[in-house]
Amino acid sequence: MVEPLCVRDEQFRMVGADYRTHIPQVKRRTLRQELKGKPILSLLVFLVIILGCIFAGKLANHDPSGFYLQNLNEAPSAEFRFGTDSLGRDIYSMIWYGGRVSIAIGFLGAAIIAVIGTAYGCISGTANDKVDSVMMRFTEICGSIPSLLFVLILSAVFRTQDVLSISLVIGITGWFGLARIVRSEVRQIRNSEYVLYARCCNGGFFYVMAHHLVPNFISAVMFIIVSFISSCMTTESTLSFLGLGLPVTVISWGSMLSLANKALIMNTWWVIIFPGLFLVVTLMCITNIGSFFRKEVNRKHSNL
Amino acid sequence: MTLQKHRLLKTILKRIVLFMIAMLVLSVVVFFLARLAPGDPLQSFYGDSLEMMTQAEQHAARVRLGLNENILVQYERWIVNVFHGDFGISLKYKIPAMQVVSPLIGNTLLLGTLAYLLVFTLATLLAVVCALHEDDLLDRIICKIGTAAYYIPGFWLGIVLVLLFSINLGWLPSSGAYGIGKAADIGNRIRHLILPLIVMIASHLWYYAYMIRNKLLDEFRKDYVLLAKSKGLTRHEIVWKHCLRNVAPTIISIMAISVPHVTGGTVVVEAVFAYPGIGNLAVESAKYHDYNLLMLTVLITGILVFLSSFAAQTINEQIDPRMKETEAIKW
Amino acid sequence: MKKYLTFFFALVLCVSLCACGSQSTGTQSSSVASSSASAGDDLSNTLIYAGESESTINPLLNNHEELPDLIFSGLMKYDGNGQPVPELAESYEYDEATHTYTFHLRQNVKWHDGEDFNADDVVYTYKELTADDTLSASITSNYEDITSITAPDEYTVVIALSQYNAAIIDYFTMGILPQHLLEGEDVNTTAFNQAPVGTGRYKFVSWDTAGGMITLERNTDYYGKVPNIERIVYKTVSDETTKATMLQSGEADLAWLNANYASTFEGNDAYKCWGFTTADYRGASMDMSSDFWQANADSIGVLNYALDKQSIVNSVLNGQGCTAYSPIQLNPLGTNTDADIYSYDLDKFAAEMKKLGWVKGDDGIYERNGQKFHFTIQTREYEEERVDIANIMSSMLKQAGVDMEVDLVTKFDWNAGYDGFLAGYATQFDPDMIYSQFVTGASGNTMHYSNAEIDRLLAEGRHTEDVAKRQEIYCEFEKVYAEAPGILLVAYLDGNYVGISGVDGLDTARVLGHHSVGVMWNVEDWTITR
Repeated sequence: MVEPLCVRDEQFRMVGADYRTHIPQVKRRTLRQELKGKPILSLLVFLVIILGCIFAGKLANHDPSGFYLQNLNEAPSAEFRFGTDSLGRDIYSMIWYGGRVSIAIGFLGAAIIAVIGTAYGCISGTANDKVDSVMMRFTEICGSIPSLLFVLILSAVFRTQDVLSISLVIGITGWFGLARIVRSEVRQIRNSEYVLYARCCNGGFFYVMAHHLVPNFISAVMFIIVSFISSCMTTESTLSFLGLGLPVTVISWGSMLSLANKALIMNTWWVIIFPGLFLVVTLMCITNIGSFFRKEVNRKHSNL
Repeated sequence: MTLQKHRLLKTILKRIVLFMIAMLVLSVVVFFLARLAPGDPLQSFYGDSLEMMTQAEQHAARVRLGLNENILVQYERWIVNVFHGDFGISLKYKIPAMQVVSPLIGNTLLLGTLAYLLVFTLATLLAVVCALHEDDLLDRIICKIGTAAYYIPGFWLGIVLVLLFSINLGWLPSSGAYGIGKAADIGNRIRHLILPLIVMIASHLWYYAYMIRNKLLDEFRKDYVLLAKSKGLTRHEIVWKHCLRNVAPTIISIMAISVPHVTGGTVVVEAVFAYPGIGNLAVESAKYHDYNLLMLTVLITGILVFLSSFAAQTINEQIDPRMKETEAIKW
Repeated sequence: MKKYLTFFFALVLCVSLCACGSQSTGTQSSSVASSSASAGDDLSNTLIYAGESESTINPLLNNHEELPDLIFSGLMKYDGNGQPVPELAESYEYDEATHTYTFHLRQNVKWHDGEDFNADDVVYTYKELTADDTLSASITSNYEDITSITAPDEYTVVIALSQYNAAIIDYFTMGILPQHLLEGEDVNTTAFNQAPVGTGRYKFVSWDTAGGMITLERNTDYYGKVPNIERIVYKTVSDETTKATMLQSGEADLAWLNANYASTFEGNDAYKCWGFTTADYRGASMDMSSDFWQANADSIGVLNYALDKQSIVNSVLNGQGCTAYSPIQLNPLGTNTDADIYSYDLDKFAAEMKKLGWVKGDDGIYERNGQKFHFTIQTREYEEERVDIANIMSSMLKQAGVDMEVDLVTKFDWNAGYDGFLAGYATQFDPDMIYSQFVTGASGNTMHYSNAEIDRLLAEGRHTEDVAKRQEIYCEFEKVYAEAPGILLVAYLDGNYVGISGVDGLDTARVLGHHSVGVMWNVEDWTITR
């Protein structure tokens, strides 16, 4: 009986509680590692642009709506940093003021989409099957109209275009997709115990929505909502180009870009390039930040 | 067998009814919204000379054009006329709206269909390339470029392309659908289509390529891939013969829901390249309250969208009967 | 339920049938167009003109466009000096006692479809003009004085007026329509408007909407000089930028461009630029019936002092134009420089405003009787130069202490309570063209301008025959108007036409009209070499 024990002893040793003398220290993650995978550059650039727009009054060295009739079509210089357009407006100053409007429309439009989309999705998701299918059919039908056409008709309804009405038009026509996604998320959790409990305790619809539904699917749709900011901004610029957006008197990146057409003939590249650059860079920053919110599915290793 | 046939008939009937309802809803929404909009449709008819007309004359004109009645009455009359194949006259062109639209449908269909097919062919190819090189440098570069291209506003890209290829290099025409007397010349038409197609592709490609890429990546993680690999199939064989076939229904459903997206794209492209088409016409008619024309353009787009999405659904059910219950694609 | 189902079924069938039908007609029409155009694929003697977007070609509906002018011809036509000379009429007499015109028509004139032209066509056209109340009044009001139109024989037309009208001879330039094609049709909606048949210098061949072009061929049976250029392809372009890019990429031979675009072609040997004088002015036309101007009508003229019009001409018009002081300044009977009473002078402005009782408020805007000097004008968004002019005016006035708000609209809305709009008018022919615009209660006086002295002068001008006397009257009008204007005049535009260097024969002698229309007045003399 001893023998086998001995053999065992050779292979295993009996140890006490304090056997491990050296506990390897968890290496503190360096800043570099901490930041890895986070959209730092995008965030920084976006912050710079946002701050620039907020402090447009400080940054701009000219009146953005002023006509410097002595300085028409001037190339970028120290005085007019991004040049002037055919009526002597200072592109540099316009960019900062215009950014306010464009970004405001992006956020406002996305907010409207988020509110309508989540509310509609929640209602549809929690309603009975008949109501649910009617509501979903409705979004399908509306979603099948090319949104540009829809926007076009709606924008004709508003007499004068301003930031609010444009955001509203873009928002009203853009929420169908979101509603569908929210609804399918809601359907997955609507029979969870905590939702049932809340409803049994006489929790109102909006209470349940705000306290139980939204917090549970917000991470899933956050990415989509963020990406709506950029799609709203693009829509605004396209509308302005088609002559259905903001009037030329309201400076936005979109309305500035709609002048690109004219600058093309005049060979003033700075009128075309700068607003476009700012718009595209901003949109990409927002997208990068947005994809960070995306619930990163832990992917298995590829079988391929 | 008969039961199956019966079910098929039932689904078709159901779809037709759904389609009708959709069209009806669409027409009601557009009809009422358009008339809610401020502005005078008479301006389309008389142009600037409306300024010189007395109230009595204007009223007489309104009565003649049927614009003075209650909206409901107007809608009722419109829908009855539509059943008789009469879509009313265009206020601006002063001829039946159908006559204004019909010559332009071909142009738009050509542009839209070509763009549509190219976008999805290229998107699939690009997706496969990216998926095969998952997280490689190539994949990452394509992803970045793709995202950037997707966010460049289409009209802006179009302008830059015109500047480059039409004005500076003089290679391609800047506007129109075909040259003088070249309506039947396919080469000439293609030359006019190149720039518009580039814009259409650039502004839609990545959106769909990325979706397909992610679907493919999910597919690569399935067990049958492992089996195929152990049988000794090459990577390319697995991707092209197995994975892609499994993703096909998804691609087709993406194609189905993308029709409105691509149709919207033609509106912008037609405006940039002065390409005569119904997209341009829709913008114009909405701007100038040319009601009948607006209704017709919207209805035609609606019909196209619905027909293609039904077609896609049917194809999918043929490929994979499980698709019946699947919902439209999520992000 | 069943009933509804069949209803829906019918609808789907109907809609899909229509969709299919339309597609097939679409291809048909384009193939027709291609076959007709392929007859002459050789473009060596074809002028490609980048024109405007068109909806109808009918002088009764589009009396101010190039195409009706090419395809149709009237009893009279304008010569290079803008004077009416006989055209379809070989000669005419005017009987002063009975105010009657007798036109002797050309014989052996053929419509483009081969039918003979005769007096019935003239009678038909003028009957339409005077009797058809579906036509817009801007055209018909010019013919109000006509009491009767008769054709005593096949080639004589007698038109009787109720009183002498100095301008009516101008209005006899209206294109004559073929009675044999239009009798009994609704002129507004007839298919004729898309396939016109006239007696003019060019024949209509085809309208290819899918390709955005209208093709015309010279009328070899034309009674006057047959044009040199065999074919004109009129591209229907709505956008000015597209016109310019078309010229640059060789897709068009001639186009009307704004001054800024035109300047980019200057100095380039491959292109030619023509600067036409036009009688086309821009200014802020005030609605005198609005509350604001009812109370402050005395303060319109003074605003002229605060406007640096030359700077506007230099920037918006790239120097292609001149500052405006009178609505008939470039008319042969106008040109009274004494009417140019306002100069750009901010000190003078301040002094005059003080005289009128305006005091600057805390925000730097003038006030009077507790009312701010604030008014709103509307401008159509797609008319770039008007938008630019309005914006610059607004910025200049703001600096001087006047708040002019600019609202961009797609279409002018006359009932929305705007205080005015950015107007553009042209008086390129008889100065009587302004009669309807300025006389109290006249048909074109949409801005409700009213001034007894002006009424008297314009009525006198209309019914005076002696040219020297008329000139005196119109010069007096300019002066009186400058003192109490309803329009804040800014600038006259030049008409900039740019063509490839092979285009020749454009004659800048003619003063062009609104939107530089009328360039093709001598199209028969044009030539093109490639």
